[in-house]
Amino acid sequence: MFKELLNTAKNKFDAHQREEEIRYLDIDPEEYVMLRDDKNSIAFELLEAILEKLKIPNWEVDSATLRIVRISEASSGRKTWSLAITSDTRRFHLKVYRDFEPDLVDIDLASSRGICTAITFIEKKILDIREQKIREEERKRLAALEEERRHKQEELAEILGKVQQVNDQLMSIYNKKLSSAKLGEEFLARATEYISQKVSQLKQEEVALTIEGDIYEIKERFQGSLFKIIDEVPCQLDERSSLIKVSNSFINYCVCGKNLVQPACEILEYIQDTRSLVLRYECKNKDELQDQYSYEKYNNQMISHIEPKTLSHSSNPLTDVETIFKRIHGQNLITKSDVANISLFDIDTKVANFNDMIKFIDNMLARFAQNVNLIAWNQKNSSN
Amino acid sequence: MFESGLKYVEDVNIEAILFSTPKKAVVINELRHKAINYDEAIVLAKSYDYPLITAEAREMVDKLIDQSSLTKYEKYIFKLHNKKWSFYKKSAINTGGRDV
Repeated sequence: MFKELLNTAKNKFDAHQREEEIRYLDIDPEEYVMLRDDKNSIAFELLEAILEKLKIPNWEVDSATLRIVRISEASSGRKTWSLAITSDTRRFHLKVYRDFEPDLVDIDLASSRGICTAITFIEKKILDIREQKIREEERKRLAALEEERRHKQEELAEILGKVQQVNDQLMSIYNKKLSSAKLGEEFLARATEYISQKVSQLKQEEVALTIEGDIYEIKERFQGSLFKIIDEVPCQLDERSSLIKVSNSFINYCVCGKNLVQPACEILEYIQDTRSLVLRYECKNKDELQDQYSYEKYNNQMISHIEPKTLSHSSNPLTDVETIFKRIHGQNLITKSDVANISLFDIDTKVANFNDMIKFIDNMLARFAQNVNLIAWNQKNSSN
Repeated sequence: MFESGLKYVEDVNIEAILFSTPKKAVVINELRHKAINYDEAIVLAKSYDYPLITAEAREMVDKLIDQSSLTKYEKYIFKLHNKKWSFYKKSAINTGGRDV
């Protein structure tokens, strides 16, 4: 125990002695030259003592040249010199080797009078250069990060712009739908009014196919087929006047022959007298009729009169027709976006403004007017 | 046998001279001219005896350095100066040991 304490005290004393021995140790350029020229072992020991005093790693004494050198770790792990301190009798110099990383060519040791100052100065300069290099790399890294951040911000802004664009488009579509719905309602109201006005102006054509003669004789001759036909086609039999009125739309399906309903064009051909508004039908095959009927008696009497007649709005069957038309119109007037899709009588169309709507309605009404009798008759019979 | 007549001057404070200035060359000159009777000896000597006298003077200064309280490294550095520098006149002691 006592021996250990003694040894510890002795070691501490030796360390203190060593510390005192090297505390003020330093050499100037001239002394550096002298001791290197002396090539004495104590010169080597002295230089090592200086490094021991400075306690700076990576420095050592080259025993061959007695120069203080700075070492670096090569990639292979081998120690190489990066720089060495030389001197003349007036100042220190720096010899830089290729393994040295920082650029030290500009380091001036003229102000370093002692080698300790020179080594400290060099080491500080190296640290400064490396810190500057680190700062530069950090600055580049931050600049790259900033660039990346800015790039991402631009991308985000671009995405936000696209989102905004889509949103605007959606809002535009939504607004168009709103305005389109209003437009559709307006179209419907105006169209209904227009249709009512137009329908009120429609004229029903009544056509009378006149067969003169005694009604009983007619009935006998046609052996009931005429009545059957009357049930199937829009025509009326006026027994008092012995007139059979057939709608214009069905004139082509006039009766001809016993128990036969044939297209009139196969049997009859008509001549329209525009002046008298009389349609006169003549039998194309008189022999056929003569076989069964007394054609001579009836031939010239098979004429039809076209009698234009204006109907009031409330009169039947046009009121029914108007109702049908409006119902169909209301069901098929569908609005999408900024155009109105209209489907009437299996005809689809798109209108973008009321003028187009009017054109469409006029077109449909024109077609409707051509068949007004048929539609009215169908409506009447179907309701029965 | 050559007798240089060199001897140490008594009552000279060697330590005081050694630490009087950081300029070691000046210290060496001080020791040469104050701690030994170099100037008296050189006056009495023949010119061809000068090398012998200066060599002996260097040895005497080295001994003074060895006997001092300096560290071994300081002693070595002082001896280097003593070995390198030529001898100057006493009047040139304060010029830093350099030729005037």
